[in-house]
Amino acid sequence: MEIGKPERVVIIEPIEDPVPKREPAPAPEREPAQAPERIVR
Amino acid sequence: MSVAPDYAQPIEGWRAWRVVTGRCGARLASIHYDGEWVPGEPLVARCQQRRRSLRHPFVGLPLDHGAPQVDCRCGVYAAATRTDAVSYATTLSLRACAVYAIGAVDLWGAVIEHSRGWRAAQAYPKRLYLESVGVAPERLRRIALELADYGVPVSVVDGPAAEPRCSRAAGVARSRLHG
Repeated sequence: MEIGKPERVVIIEPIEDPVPKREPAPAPEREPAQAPERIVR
Repeated sequence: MSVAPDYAQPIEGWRAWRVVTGRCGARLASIHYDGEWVPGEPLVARCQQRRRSLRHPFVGLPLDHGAPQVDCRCGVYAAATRTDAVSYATTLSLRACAVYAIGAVDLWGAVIEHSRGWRAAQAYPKRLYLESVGVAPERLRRIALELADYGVPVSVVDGPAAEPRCSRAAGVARSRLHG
């Protein structure tokens, strides 16, 4: 890409991170534990 | 001894990307080089120029300097105007049904200011506009949803948009040349 001739160099240190924070994926819903089936003989 | 930075806010420029589709969906890619921009991670410039070598006459050796350098062509490029970025994308021989994105980018780190743009050490998209040649609107909308992974606004362009001009960072700068 044509951007012309270089003029000067600057140093940029952003105070805030320019990269958007990605929200963590929601934890999958867990079904409530069920009591094991009892076999009566 | 540490050197104080010139600016504390990123510079905003304009860029064009190819839009490629992989396992993770639509992603931004450089028009000239391989490699994709990873959502959630800044693009860090690396010099890909090579110098001649008698031992490696066909491949050459990588130049051993950080990017960008004033006397090199390396760095993440961005134009000062959206028009320049669009012209760059449309003058390339993009095949029919190609999808490309024009967008604003934040630039930071060592940044070389040119008369009509910048070359930076690090960059990340700030907002994206999808443009295409002969692509169905439904496919464009699906691509826009996938590009939302970058965490920035994504729009589908139906016609020529307004011409905003990106501004340079405010503040007083101390200019210096790389050694």
